[in-house]
Amino acid sequence: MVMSDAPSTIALIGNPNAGKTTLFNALTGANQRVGNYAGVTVEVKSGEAFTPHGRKLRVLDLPGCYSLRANSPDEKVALDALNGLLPGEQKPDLVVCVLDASNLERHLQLALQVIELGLPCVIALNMVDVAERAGLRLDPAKLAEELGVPVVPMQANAKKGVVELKQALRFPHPAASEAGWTTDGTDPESARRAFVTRLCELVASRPDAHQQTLSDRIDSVLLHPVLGWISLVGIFFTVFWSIFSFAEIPMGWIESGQGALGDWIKSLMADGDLRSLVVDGIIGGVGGVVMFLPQIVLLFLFIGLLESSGYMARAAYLMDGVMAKAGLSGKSFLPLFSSYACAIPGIMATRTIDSAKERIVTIFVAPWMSCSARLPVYFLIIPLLLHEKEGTWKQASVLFAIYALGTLTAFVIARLLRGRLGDDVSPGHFLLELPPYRKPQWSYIFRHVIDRAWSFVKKAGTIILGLSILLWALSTYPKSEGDDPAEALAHSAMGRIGAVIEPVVKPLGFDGRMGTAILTSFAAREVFVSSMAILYRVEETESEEETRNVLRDQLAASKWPNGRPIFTPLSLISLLVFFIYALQCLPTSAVVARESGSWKWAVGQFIFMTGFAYVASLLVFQTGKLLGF
Amino acid sequence: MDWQTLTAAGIVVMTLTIFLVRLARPKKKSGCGHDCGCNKK
Repeated sequence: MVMSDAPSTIALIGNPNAGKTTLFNALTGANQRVGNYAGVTVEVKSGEAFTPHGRKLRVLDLPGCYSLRANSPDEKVALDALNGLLPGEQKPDLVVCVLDASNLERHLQLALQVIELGLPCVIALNMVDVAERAGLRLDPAKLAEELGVPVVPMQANAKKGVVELKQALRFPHPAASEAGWTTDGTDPESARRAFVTRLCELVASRPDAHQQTLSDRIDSVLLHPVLGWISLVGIFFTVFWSIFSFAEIPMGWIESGQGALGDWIKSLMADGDLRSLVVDGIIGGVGGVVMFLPQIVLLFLFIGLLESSGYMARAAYLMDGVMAKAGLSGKSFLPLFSSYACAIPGIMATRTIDSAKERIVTIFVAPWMSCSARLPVYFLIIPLLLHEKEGTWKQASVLFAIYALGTLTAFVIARLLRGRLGDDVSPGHFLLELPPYRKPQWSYIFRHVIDRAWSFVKKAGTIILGLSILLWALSTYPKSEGDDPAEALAHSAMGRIGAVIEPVVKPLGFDGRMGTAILTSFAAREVFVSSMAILYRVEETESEEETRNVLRDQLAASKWPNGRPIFTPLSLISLLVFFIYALQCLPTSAVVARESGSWKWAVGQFIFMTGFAYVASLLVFQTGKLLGF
Repeated sequence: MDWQTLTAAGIVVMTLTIFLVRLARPKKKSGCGHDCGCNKK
């Protein structure tokens, strides 16, 4: 065969969680996110691969779909890609249909529909190792003979079979001339089901069909109506506890490094504006945010572990009932869960939801899932709220409660909003893949964690660095005549802004500086920590001992003009409540506008959430005051 | 004005200019455009 016969564009298609993205990464060497649960890919991604003879191929990774009926936005994207209807894309020259070998009965349904389209097709029979461990005896040659297309057995996560697949791509068989299963005049779906049942008996026999696999035995506990819930709460609580416990040591290193760097610069430079900018503005502002890197790394490490092992799909299964009470379905679980990392991918993941009304409700409440940008703020406030000696389990409980409060409120609002939008014309069905438990794919987990950590450090080194410099300038200029630091801050632009804001935020228990810090956090939530570090630096100079203390100690020592502490447990809870509910992320609003197709939803969401945060915070503080706290 | 004041003011002006230029420049990236990793999804 000559080189020109090789296809130029290959589309990877398959059911959710068939391993398309893993195969895409193996073929292209890319680092797209993978997870052992359905719906990780919601849009078409493309990459380049090379045949064993060096010919370049373009590979498209399509969103996972159960059928080509285009029930949901992501299924429509997949079908359009196959038909060459996507803007700027041509019809693919070859389709690689990725099947989970351990779950052939369902995955073959889609493969038959792809073959019926008449496109040249190769079957990538993925996860043969899982199928074999489950006791299945596979016959890929017989499967190829029955379907009339090449079948390549493989294990994409270990890159086994990738070369064989590339060889099959170089020599594609022509499309099957006719789909034999649809020729007897019966309904196509029934014909496909009957054909698949017969085919599975031929090519994937199980000597002992009733044998329980290890996954089945684990699921008898983790999906148990009572034990399952205890496990769910236990697992997530352990994650939060571990974040606080294990991060303490590296956080201490960063903290001491930051202090030592500040002292070193002070020893090198005479007192002046540049020294103040470097020590108070840059080291204080950026260091205050970078200090939380270990906790963020740990959170993503645990999320990666839960996703990769297959537990996340079980959590979605358990949550389906709870979602139903909120007027949603298990399909909303993944978008909402993704929003714990960042609301933007979460909102994009709503494309897997076929009901337009459920989708808009999920988009509306997604930012209330506490995203990682809020974590530096929580990690700053929680230890202030609880004395250090009270132990990490209490801090973990507060963090758990914060997540629970955001989630619970999101469900209540979703229920109310769903009620107002009314029922769907045609009810949808929630079909969830429960993949077998697998050993975590450490390489992908570490790459994902490093990716996230690098993004965080990069953000701290660019946007937060820039904002820290500007905030320092605002809190330094114009300069006052006297040497009193409190007077200097009051005279500065920031002090003046704070004075204007104070009447608005005082009913929430905040002073003008906190109000200003909140205002700056609408640019990016983490900036709140930098702003606080810069704005409260006046306390640093009060005593030698205090200058060595970290930001938390400075905040704890801050007082109102009448001598009362600013940061009481009540004002801190009020501040936490504000950050749980406020939508302080412009990029999220832009994505909401794009995904909902209207700026009205984005603007409405911003006004509603910020208003809700203000009222909730006000209620907490004023009620607490009335009760004597 | 001493050299520290001048240098600090220069850094602040430069930072402000970079922010304004970035703000004015049209965005091409998908995701939030802040390299948080969300556009990799």
